[in-house]
Amino acid sequence: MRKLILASLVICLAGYCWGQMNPQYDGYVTYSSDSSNNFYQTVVVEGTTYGSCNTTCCQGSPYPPYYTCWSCPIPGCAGATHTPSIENVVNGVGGWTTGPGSNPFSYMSYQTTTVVSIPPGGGASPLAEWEVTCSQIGVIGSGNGLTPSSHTYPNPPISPNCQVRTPFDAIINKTTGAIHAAQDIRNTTHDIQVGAPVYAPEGGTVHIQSGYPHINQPVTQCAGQGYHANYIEITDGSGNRTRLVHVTALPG
Amino acid sequence: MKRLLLLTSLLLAFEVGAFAQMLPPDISMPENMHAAASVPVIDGSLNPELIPDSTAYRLFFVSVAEGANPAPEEVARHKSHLARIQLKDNDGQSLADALRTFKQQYDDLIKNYNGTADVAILQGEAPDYSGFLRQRDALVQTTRNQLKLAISPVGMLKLDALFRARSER
Repeated sequence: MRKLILASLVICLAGYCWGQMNPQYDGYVTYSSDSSNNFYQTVVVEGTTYGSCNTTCCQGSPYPPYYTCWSCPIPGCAGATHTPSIENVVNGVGGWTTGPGSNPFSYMSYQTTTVVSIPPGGGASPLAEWEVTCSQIGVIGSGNGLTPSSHTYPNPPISPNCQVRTPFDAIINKTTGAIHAAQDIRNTTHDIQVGAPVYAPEGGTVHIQSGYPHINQPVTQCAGQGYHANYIEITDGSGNRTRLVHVTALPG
Repeated sequence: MKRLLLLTSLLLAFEVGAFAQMLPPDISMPENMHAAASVPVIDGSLNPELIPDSTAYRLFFVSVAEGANPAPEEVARHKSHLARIQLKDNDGQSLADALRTFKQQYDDLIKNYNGTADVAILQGEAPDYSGFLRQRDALVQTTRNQLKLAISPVGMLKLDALFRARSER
């Protein structure tokens, strides 16, 4: 009886000695625009799966030593392939592309770029997703990037031309985790001067907010200081809010 | 005797549970070769502060760096990404040079590791993943150190600002 009890304990404990494979992949989205109104979105997926194609197999027996374990290959592992896929779409341009497949333990680094021309005053609606698929069991890693959203103005807010500098939800405050939740617009030649006029890009309810006066210092020193500059806010009928920030004179 | 019977009953009940998990087949194999649940997932859109700087810099370097023999479109994309940082000419050139060197060394590192992975999988062994990670992160750190020497303090502030304070309002 005591032998039976001992054998039972050994079987119970030894039944959980499996090997494992651990997928570890990173996805990343970055974007930019140039003076020719081109908008670039680059999506990267890279990483690998670590572990071994061998695991521990065990077999019980009614005779001594009652239980035996040995190293054995995981079925299908050695011939499996892991393949990256990326969906990179801006304003309907682009789509899913698939990178080269490789053995499960290879380190993959795959990226795609979508380029679109955004006319002055136009918006960007970016979409980014990635997947890594194992030929044996399907998707083993996935993620997405930006929240698709866009807003097109009937008139440009600055002259002569403006463009989307940062798409909606594209910037994240690393300290607070807050999402930017806005679409930034700038002039295409990046040389707007103090005193340049700005215009209402659409109709709506106007709110004027006074803030700190303009200070000549680098943007990196102004960002995230917790206070705002003078701005004019226009809310359209759908609740979209546009802020013309850093205006240097306000109407009386 | 009662105690022995009680203990035996408990162990037999546990044993039946254990056998139920093991049978069939008699030879036990893992049902799923991937342990996805054991891998921690960081969603950068929800918890960006949990992403290590080395990871953030690596992915930025990888996505922005030019490949070997870049096409004109690739060059335009590269310039556009760098222009976003608003570096002065010398700093911009230093960053472009550092990224080019990084890209070449990074590709070589991956190529070498994948060579060992091909051999390991044929032999039923695991490649030296932790060693690869050490080399990969060391390369990122070396590139950052080189940038600190090559780029002006103001330029480095702008580059760091891209990662540390992304809210531009």
